[in-house]
Amino acid sequence: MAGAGGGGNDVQWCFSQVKGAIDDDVAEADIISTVEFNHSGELLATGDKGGRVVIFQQELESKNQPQCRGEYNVYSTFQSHEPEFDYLKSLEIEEKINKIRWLPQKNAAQFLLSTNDKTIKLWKISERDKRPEGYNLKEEDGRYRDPTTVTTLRVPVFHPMDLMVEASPRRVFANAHTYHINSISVNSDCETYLSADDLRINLWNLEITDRSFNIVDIKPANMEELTEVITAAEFHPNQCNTFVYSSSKGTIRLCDMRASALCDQHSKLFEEPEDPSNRSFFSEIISSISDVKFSHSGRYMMTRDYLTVKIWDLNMESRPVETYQVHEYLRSKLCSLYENDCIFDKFECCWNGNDSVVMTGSYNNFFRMFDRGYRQDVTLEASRESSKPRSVLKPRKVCTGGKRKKDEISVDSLDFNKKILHTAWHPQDNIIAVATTNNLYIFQDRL
Amino acid sequence: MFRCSPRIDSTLGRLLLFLRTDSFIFSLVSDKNSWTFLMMEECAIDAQNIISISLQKIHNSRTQRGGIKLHKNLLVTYVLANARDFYMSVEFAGMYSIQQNGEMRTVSDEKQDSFELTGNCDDIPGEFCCNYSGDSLDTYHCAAPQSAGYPAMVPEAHTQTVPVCPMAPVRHCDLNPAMVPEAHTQTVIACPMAPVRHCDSNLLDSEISWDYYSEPYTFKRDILISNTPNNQKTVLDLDTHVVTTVDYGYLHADYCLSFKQHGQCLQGSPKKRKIDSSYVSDSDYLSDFLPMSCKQIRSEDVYCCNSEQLDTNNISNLMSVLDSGFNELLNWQTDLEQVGLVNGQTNFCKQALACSGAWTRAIEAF
Repeated sequence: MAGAGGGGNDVQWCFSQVKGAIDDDVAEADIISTVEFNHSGELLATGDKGGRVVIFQQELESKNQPQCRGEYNVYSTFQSHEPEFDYLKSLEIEEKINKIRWLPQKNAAQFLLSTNDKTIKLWKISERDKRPEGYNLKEEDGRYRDPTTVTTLRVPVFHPMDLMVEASPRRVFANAHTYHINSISVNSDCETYLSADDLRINLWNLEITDRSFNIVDIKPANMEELTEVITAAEFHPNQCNTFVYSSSKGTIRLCDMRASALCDQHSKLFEEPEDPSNRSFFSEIISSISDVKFSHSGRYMMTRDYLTVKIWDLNMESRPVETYQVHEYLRSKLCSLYENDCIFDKFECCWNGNDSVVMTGSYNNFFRMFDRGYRQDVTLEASRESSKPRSVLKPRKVCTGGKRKKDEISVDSLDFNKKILHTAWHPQDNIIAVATTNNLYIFQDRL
Repeated sequence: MFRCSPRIDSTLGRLLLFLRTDSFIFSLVSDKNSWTFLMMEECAIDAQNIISISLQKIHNSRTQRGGIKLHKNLLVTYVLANARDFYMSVEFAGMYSIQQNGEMRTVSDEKQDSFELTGNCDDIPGEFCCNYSGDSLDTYHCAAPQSAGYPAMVPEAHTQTVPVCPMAPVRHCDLNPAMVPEAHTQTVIACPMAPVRHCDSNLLDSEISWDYYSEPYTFKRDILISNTPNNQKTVLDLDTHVVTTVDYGYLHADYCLSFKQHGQCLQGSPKKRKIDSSYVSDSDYLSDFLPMSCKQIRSEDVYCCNSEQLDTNNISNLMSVLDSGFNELLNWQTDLEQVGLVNGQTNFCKQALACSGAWTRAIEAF
C-alpha cells in the first residue's frame, strides 16, 4: 500500500537519515522538543530539553545524482537557553526549547526565534568564510600592538578561511510572561510576532525588547473561575491582522487586531459540539487542543487534540470540514493513559507544501499521514530497524480487536514511551522530519 | 486497567448506568438488582482510584521542575470533578436504594468505607468514616482519624484529634447520639482545606460545622476550653481570605446563632481582619499552586497543610469537600431568603464565593 504524500496515491516514503545517539539510554537533555524547517527548506532546526538548538543544512543536489536530494548535515549548534532560577517565586525555569520559528530571510544571514517557558530570543546565524588580516594595531593573535612601534600603515585584507557558522543572540525578549510560553508565531509583516502563554498573548516588535503589547488576556479576575487556558496560537500566513488561538476546551478563536487593541472578543469561534455518547471522565483532557496550524493558503486551519486531527474552514465555525482519527483505539485506554501521564502528551501536526496532506505523530514511534484529496491515510514507523538507506517504509497497522493479522501490532503491545510529538514537512518537497524521543528521522519520497 | 467509560445519568430515584466495554453495552437499572449494585460499587471504586491518582498528580506537580503546569493541573481538576460527580451519583443511588429497600450494605473495601451502618467507628481506626443509620438518624456523623496527644477538653465528651490533613474536612460530629451525651469537642491540628459544608438538612444536626481551627474548640456556646494554651485562635479561610480571630476559646455568639438558624456553617466572628485578595497576584498563584494563603497560614501560626500526610483513602470526605462548593451555592440563595442577614450580607457573598471555588481550592491546598 502506497503512502500518502500528496499529488497522487503512489508516494512511497523512504528512509533518508537519522540524527542523534544510537544509545537506548536517553539523556533527558537530548530529548527533542521542537522541529522546524525554514521557509526555503534548506535549513532544519531542532530544539531539545537541554536548551540547545541544532541546525541542519541540506547539501546542494549532486550533479552526479540529480535525482537524489541532498542530505541534511549539521550546520550549527548552539546553547540557546540556560536553566534559570526565579528567586522571587522560588521557581526553576527550564531551559527546554518549546518552539523555534524561522524568520523570512532578508539577507545572507538567517534569523530564528527560540523560546523556553519564559524568554524568547532572536538568533542570527551567519557564515564567516573570510578572515581579515593585516591590522595595524593588532597582532595576528589578537594582542594589541604598542602604538609607538607602528612605523608603517597597511590596509587589512580578507583571506579565505574554513567556513565558520556563528550563532549570536541579537535580541532577548524577557519578563513578559507570567505563565509558561507555549507558542510563538512570526507575523507576515516580518516586523512583529506573538508569544502566547497559558493565559495571555503578547505582541512584540522584533526590534524592541523592553516592551510588548498584550492582545489577549483570558485570566479571570478570580482564578477560581479559571476554566480554560490557551494552548497554541498562530498568525495567519497572509493577513497580518489575523491570528488564532486554541484553548484547552477544544475551541479556536480567530481574532482581528484591527477590531480592538485587546482581542479578548473573538471575531470567530470555532467549536464542535461534543458527542455525548463519548462522554467519559477524560472528555475534557482529550478535547484539549495541543496544536493549531494554518494551511499555507490561509484558507484552512488544522487542530490536533488527543485522538483526532481536524481541518477547519475559516468560513465555517460550526464544525470542522474534515476529521481524521489518529488512534481511536486508545479511547478505551484513556484511564491507563491518564495514569501514566500519556494522556497529557501534546502532539503537533503539520501540512505539506500544497496543503493536500497532513501529518501527525502517535505512539510506538508511529506517525500518520492523511491525504485530504484521496481520503487515504497511512501509518508509518520511525525505527532503527527500518533505517536502511533508501529503504521503503512499510505501512503499519494496529490491530484493534479480533484476530491479529501478520505484521499487525496489537494495541496492548504499543510502546507508549516511544512517542512522536514533533514533525515537520519541507515547504516544497516531500521531505519530512520526524522526531522520536532523542532521534531525528528524515524521510523523503522515493524518486 | 479500566475498560469501562461510565456515563451516569441520574434522576431522582433512578440511576441509569451505562457501561461500555470493548464488546457490549450494559444498561442497568439500580433498584432491586444486586448485580447492578455490585457493578455500581466497582465503578465507584474506579472513580475513587481516579480521584486518588489525580490527587497524587497534583501533589507531584508541586515538585516538578519548571514549576506547576497550569494547563495540566486544570485538566486534572476536571477529571477530579467528573470522578466526584460520578462517585456521588453512585453513592446517592446506593443510599436511595437502601432507603427504598431498607437494607444495609457494607462497602467491601474496608479502607474506603464511606458509610457504615453499625454506627461504630472504632473498628476503623485512623480512617474517616461516617455513620449513617438511615432514617433513624437525623445527624450526619463523621469521625476524624484518631490521634494521640490532645487532652480531652470536656471530660465526658468524646475527643478526637485530627492530624494534619490537607484534604480532611474537619467536622464536628456526634459520632453517635448515644456516645456523646452532651458536649462534643474536636481538636484539630490544622485543616486548611476544610470548606464550609452544607449538609443535607434531613440528616444534619444544625450544630454540625466544619472548621479550620488550629486550637481546641467546641461548637457549644460559652464553653470555655480551660486548658487552651492560647487565649486566641486564628482561622484563615482559604477561599475568601478572611481571617477570623476567636477570643478565649469562645465561639462568638453570632457564629453559633447563625448556623443554628440555617444549618450552615459560617465562618468566624465579627472580629475579622480581611486580607485583600488582590494580594494574591499572578506570581503568588503561580508560585506554588499553594497560593499565598498557605504561607499565610504559617504566618498565622496555623499548621500548614502537609500534603504528604494526605490519606488518599479518605475518598468519601474528599468527595464531600469537592461537593460542598456546589451544594452550598445551590442552597445559598434559598437560605438568604429564609433567614436574616447575620454579620452582614458580605458573609453570604463570601460563602458563595468560597463554595463555588471550593473544589479548586481543594487542589490549591496541596
